[in-house]
Amino acid sequence: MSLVQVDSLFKDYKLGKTTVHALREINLTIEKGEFTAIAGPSGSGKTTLLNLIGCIEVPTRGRILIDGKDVTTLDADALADFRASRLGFIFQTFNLIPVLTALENVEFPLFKHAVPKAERVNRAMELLDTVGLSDYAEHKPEELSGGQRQRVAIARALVTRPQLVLADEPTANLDHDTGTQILQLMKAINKCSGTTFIFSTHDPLIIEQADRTIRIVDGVITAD
Amino acid sequence: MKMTIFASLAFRNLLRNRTRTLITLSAISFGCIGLILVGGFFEDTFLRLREGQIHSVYGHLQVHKQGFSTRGKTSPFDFLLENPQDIAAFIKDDPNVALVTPRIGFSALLSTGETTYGVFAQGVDPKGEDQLATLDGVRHAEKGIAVFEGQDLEAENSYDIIVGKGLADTLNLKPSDTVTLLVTTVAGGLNALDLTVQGIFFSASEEFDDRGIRIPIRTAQSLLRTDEVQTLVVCLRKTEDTDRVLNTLRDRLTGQGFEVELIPWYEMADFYRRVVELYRRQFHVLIVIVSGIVILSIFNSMNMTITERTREIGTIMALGYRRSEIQQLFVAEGFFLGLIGGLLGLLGGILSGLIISTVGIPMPPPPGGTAAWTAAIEIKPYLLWTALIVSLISSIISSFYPARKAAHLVVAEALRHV
Repeated sequence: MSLVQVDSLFKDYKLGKTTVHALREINLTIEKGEFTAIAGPSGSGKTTLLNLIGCIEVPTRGRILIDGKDVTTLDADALADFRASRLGFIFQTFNLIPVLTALENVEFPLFKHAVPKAERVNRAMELLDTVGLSDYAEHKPEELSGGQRQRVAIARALVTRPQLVLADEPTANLDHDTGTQILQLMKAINKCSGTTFIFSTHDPLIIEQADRTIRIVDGVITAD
Repeated sequence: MKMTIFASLAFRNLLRNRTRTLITLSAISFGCIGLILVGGFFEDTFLRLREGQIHSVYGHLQVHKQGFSTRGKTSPFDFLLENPQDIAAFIKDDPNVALVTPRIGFSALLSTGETTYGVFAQGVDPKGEDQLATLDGVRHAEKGIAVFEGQDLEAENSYDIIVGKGLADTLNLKPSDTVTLLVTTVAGGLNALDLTVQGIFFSASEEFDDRGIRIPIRTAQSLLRTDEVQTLVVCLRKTEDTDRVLNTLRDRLTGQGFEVELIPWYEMADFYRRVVELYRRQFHVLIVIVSGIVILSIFNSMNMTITERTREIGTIMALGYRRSEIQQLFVAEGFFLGLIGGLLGLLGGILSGLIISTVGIPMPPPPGGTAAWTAAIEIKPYLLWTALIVSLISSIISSFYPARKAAHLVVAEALRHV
């Protein structure tokens, strides 16, 4: 069974009186352990596709199965619980919680799961170590560089041991070298732990590093 | 555990937006301080009026012959206490009783030679009344009834008279003027006596100041041709003990076979009761106003917070937190604002109350009174509780809608928000 199965997915947005067809008839499958890039120019619909797979947006039509579960039938609370236990997110703008330290940011998703404190801290510290930031555990996001912030975000995305990590343009706000390092880190984690990664990008140099690239233009998959 | 991080998150966010938090906290604290000061001012007014009336006109308890309260108005001399000394001695045994002093009240005509005026006369024991008039625990006031011109009554059987301020103004009386007091005696005959105005008094009761006179009780008894007294005025050490002492004394006096009735001050102090009722109602209106201010200021602050933190909210939801959890997070922020603002308000209210009480607020004569006075702030525990509860409940109510708005953001849209 594929980890992600998308069947004839449509997503429309209302923009004033006109309807924008963000995605049209998308079909794709992603297997466990893949390291997949969704590539396309801005406005092509890649973020929308990622949001739909990430259960933070609801499709207009079509079906998404994640690990065999049809997530399009779930209500808001069930979707939240599903995201909490199965999915990890990495954002273009890092989106760390500014008032929390790096360690607390990584721990944050675990509060939802009532993980005992000792284990929570251990897991978060281990991941900070993995992303090379164990010395920065007590730093606030504003005291970290962009690359460091994104590393914290990667640690946060992994702390619940999700099956699938979704990263929306994770390198777009970083300089090229840092972006490459971030992607290499993600790839290393993918190889080491088998966590599936799907990330969107429009940077050709980043696309090169993906195992698989799905190209999307104007809401339609043009190459896979 | 989740609540710990939520509380910590809420708290740190308040610290992060220092200026806004300070402004909101100030609004809440000012509301609280306002409640405490106005409530404390009302309480001070109640205290002053109550103690003033107790320590001038009513005493804490009055002992009459059985039936006086129902039929005494029309035939007061039918209800005289025959053995006042025995009853007084018995009442004085109670350790809560500070003083028992006799009185005899009657209607009379006061004549200056030119004008004759109907007055309400009291035969009193000058020493006992002086002791009764002494106020304890009321700021900026010493006497419940005070002679401000001339002298108070002194000897038990002198031919002296003191008159209320309003009456003195009406009849144009000054100390050392001579007046004639004309009465119907206990037996129904007429009797008159020439008296010298010794002093002019004012009390906490305008009614008494306008029509009241006092003469020594022995003089009154000889004028009325009786040896008996009408009323024993009982003064307690503490006003709060009134009901307790009332019940014990009632039981004990009846047990001893005395045919008497005891009336507590609050059954006589009708004016006081109406004032309290009116002011309490005003206080309730004030609570509504303050709640409104607190609700609006927190509402505004929370709305701004939520707009600014839209992307953060989107992130937290993307990480798997439910709508209800987002709502808890922001209600927690509102709760903290209310709690901290409320506590600061209590502190500010207590401090400013103390300062104002020490300095005193100069006040014109109150309704029902004749003299200017100095007000203070009497802070009662219930005022502090009310202020804190008002700020807490208002803050929770006012953060509820913004929190709900935050919780119902569409995750993907919230994440796109800049």
